[in-house]
Amino acid sequence: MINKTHEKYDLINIISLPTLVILSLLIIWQIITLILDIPKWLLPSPITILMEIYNNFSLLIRHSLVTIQEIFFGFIFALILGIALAISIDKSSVVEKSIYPLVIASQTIPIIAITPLLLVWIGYGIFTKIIIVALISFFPIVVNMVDGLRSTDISIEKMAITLGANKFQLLTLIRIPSSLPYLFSGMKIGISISVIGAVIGEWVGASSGLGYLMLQSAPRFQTSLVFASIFFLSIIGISLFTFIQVLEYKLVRWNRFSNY
Amino acid sequence: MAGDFFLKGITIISIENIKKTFMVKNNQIEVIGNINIQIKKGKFISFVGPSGCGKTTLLNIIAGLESPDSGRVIISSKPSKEMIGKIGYMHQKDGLLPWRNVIDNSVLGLEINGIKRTQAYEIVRPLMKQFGLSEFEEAMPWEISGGMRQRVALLRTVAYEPEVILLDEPFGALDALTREDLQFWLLQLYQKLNQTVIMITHDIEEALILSDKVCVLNDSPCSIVKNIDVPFEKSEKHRNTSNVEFAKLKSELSYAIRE
Repeated sequence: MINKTHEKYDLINIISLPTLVILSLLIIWQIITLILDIPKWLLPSPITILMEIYNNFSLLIRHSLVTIQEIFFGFIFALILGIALAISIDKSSVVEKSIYPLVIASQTIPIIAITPLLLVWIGYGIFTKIIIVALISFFPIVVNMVDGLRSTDISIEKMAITLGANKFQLLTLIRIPSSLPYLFSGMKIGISISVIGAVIGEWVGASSGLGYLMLQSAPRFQTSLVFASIFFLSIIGISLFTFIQVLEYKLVRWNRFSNY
Repeated sequence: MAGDFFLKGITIISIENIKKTFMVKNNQIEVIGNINIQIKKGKFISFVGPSGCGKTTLLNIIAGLESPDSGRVIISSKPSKEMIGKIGYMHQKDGLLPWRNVIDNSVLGLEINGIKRTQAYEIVRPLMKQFGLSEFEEAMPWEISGGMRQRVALLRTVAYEPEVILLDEPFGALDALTREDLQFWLLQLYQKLNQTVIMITHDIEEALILSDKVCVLNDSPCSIVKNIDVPFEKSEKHRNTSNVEFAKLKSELSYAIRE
């Protein structure tokens, strides 16, 4: 294929350019803190943050694992619920008219407003955070999947009908596969905001997790630990996003070559 | 002789007094006005007509996808609606699934009709050879040429052995050279498979090369204005596009279309 060398070139670009930008920003940051002699509690230098990560590595990992668990289960929950709901919205106009407006309306309520209620109802455990993550990430999954199911090429569907496909076969053999590129778009948005969901959940009430760690460190002026937590959160977010992108690359490779 | 058998052959498709009107902005537009034709088993029939004359609607009715306002289509003594899934229908657009490779696209019809994939491969492999696709089993649709895609689409149509094959401008989207190659190839294939074929096209030459019988349609409403039996033997037809009789038939038909 003509794209072989092109792709390799792209891969180098994807990794090297952002790294270069981040590195230069870090260097500028380091220089500014040195020149202006900014106190550690106000704005720690990158090197101080790095030291903090090194000294508190096991603590950060422990809290990270909690946050990762919340994101993982919440997102899987959202994925199952989102796909099932999208399929039923696509299949039945009754579901579409009755549930779809509610799904959209639910997005106008800020998640942070519901969180205290969930704490009262469900408690301070991990399950509350899983629900919050699911609530926040399920919307883009549903909306994109519904659009994907509806974008199915009518001529392909007609072809399958003439081959004798029943409703179920049309769904599994034609509609779901052709909706996958859309589903992956939804999943990429969903996984990015699910990190936010987990942190919000931990801020409102938790005894562990990176959000909790940030909340504990800030009032004690352990600013470098706050930064370390942010660093870990972004690593988690980027890794999960990359994982989904790799999955997308494997499963819907066709989407980049075919022109519909 | 086999030839004699098919001359006396039984009627497999009976199109009886088909009429169809569409409502367009409160105006009734008659699309198909009384089409009547019997087609014998094993024959290759072409409908030739100007574009937009309702050919595809006619084919959809024969396939059982649309209902006529009056009249009926009987295939193998059943109404065509009950024959969905037993009729092969190939559209102008190949409709290959971009997420399946060549062989997985070819077995789609078999799979839909309940045959396991591994078993379907066994059925399709000998056909892949006939269709010149053996080396491209694993290729994805975007990696092969337009002519090859059309062959995969046809393979998918014939693989589950439908009693009747409907072709809607099968080579319409291809360049002239590829088109000629595929016509010749289809002719050879048709002689081996011996299925009943109905093709619609706007290309008179294509109709004369491939079919036993050519029906000329005119538009508004679509009806048969001329009906000729092609006098050539199948095997010689391809060579005869330049002979006098072929040219005579061709001009006769194009005159009928323009009338």
